[in-house]
Amino acid sequence: MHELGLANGIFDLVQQYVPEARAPRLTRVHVRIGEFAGVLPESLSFCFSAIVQGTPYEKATLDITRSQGREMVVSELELEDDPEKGTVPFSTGNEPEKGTVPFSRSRP
Amino acid sequence: MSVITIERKVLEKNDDVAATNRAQFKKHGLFVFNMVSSPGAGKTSLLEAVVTYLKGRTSIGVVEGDVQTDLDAQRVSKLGVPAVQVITRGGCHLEAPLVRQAIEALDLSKLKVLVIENVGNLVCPANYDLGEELKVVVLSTTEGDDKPLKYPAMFKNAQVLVINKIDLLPYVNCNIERMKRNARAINPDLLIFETSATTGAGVGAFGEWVCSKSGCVCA
Repeated sequence: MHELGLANGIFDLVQQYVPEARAPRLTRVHVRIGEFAGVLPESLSFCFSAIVQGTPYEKATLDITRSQGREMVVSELELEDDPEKGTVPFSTGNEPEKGTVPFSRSRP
Repeated sequence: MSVITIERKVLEKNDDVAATNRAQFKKHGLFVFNMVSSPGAGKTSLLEAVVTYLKGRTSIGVVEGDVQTDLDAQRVSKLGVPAVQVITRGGCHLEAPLVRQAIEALDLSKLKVLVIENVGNLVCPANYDLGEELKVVVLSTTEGDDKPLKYPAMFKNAQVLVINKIDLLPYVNCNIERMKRNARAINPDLLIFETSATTGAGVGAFGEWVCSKSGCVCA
């Protein structure tokens, strides 16, 4: 059942980078989970979907890649383009205090 | 579509508090270990036996984690050891902030050893750093010699394995040599002790190891 706590940790990070105003455009949260992390991917996805339900982030689903070792990392956040502005450089106005500085790139 | 690369650890909040805990333990020169096992492996009984064995030689404090009740803290307190009970109310493991709160109730400057007895669970506690120096996994002979293969993460993350309830070996279907081989297949560096908290067999060896890690004078 610790997947619920982990899903909460993922949601905390998501909220740091994507403010509520942009939340409906968040489609996918990419995470890497190590084979030795003791995490059931299906359970983690289920818990995440339960947490975002009823919030502005409810369109977001987890995309889990299995990796080596014990790591549990939120790697990328995928957002749909703004229908009016198209792909825009990313700026949350709510930058996290530490960690890798986020950047944005466009995909076709 | 736009993609934001963030590369942040899921358990970052926990790990930050664990680092604070670790710094505080270091400041007081404390040896801290996180005791993990499945429910019923004998963690508390082993702890009682070790505390009794080391009485007067080192000062031990205990943080007990359980889903409900303070029965374990009561048991350990009876031996004259300062003990704090963390009740997780359903939570299947201890997290660093819970330990942070618990140690506020202890005078760390008077301790040499702090034992954090985790909630009985061989899965979830493996992921959560509490600020300890190392993890001691307790495995009892009644659980079967294949357990390290079934729950590899915990055995991979622990530095010490205590095989408890060796007094029951004649009555259970457990090959202790196979158990050790299985554990070392997962983690070749494991330091292994064999104990019986009931008869006291092997408790001395484990107790001396705890004592030496805390810098106390050995017998």
